[in-house]
Amino acid sequence: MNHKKEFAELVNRYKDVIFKVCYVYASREELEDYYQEVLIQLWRSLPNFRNESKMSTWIYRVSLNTCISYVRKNKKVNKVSLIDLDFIDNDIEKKYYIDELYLLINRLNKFEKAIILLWLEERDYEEIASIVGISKNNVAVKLNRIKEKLRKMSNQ
Amino acid sequence: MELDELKEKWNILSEEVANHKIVTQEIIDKSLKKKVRTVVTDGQYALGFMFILMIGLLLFFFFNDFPYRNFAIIIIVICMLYGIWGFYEMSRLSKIISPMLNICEMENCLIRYKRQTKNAYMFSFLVILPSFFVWDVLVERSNGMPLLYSILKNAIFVAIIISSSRYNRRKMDEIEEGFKEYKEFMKE
Repeated sequence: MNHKKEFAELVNRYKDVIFKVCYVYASREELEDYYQEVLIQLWRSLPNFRNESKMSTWIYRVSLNTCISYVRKNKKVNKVSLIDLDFIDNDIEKKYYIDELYLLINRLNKFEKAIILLWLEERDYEEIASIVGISKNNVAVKLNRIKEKLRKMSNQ
Repeated sequence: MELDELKEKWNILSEEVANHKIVTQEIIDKSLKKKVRTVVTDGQYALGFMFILMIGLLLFFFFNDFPYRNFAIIIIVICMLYGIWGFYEMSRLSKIISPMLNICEMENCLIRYKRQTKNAYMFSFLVILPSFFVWDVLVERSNGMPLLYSILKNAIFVAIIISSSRYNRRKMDEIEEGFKEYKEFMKE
């Protein structure tokens, strides 16, 4: 298939996923930059995709790696500035929930963020393990630790 | 908070994102424009800082008796005139950097900015630094200091200007790369 056509289809199909990965790592001001960076990376990497894994797994892997290295490159993690999702501004209750979610996730480290994001996206342990490059058992252990951490954080 | 509670909230976000039309082109557009604006604004701040520094130096030389004072004042005045021209060019540029511009117009802004900064660095290397060096040698020689002292002092200024020029070029290259990629996949 034509590379450009394939890419356009891929972006169309997975833009929500890419947006949510960026949401977890970026601050309000940087969300668009992260989104663009991920798209560029996907565009560059698409010719190397060899169907060895599921397309979704590959998308998560590239998006997460790009966001993590972008955070490292910029050397700043904005933990305070909330993402201003203008499309939910009208619903105060929803906005409150999403703000709370953002604040909690942002207190996790880069690796924990990746695991919790994949779990929230209902990826199975095997897929999470293959995306982040750890064993299935390790995923379970890490998720338990994150669960503990979140409980402590929400009690603070 | 339990993970299940977190999941509920995540589902709300997923729903909202799914209902919202993510216009990829718009996002990339905004991101590129923001980068150009940041580079131009940084340039304006740097120019403003240099101008204030020059005013400070001018006042210093004006109210203090210094060897070859007039020579120093002439160099500073030349720098300030160049700075005023820079401000004028920058203000023209900042007027056209508006969110309403399309990507091609933004790219033109960047090209103009690049040309201006190149001229500014050339001016620094060909006029300001040699003049300052000559003045510094004259002053230090009259104080009985060796030439090497002036050379070392000026080498620091050269290093600062070179690193700032490299930083600027890197930033602009990044944006240009962004424009290139953008055009390439928007062709489709």
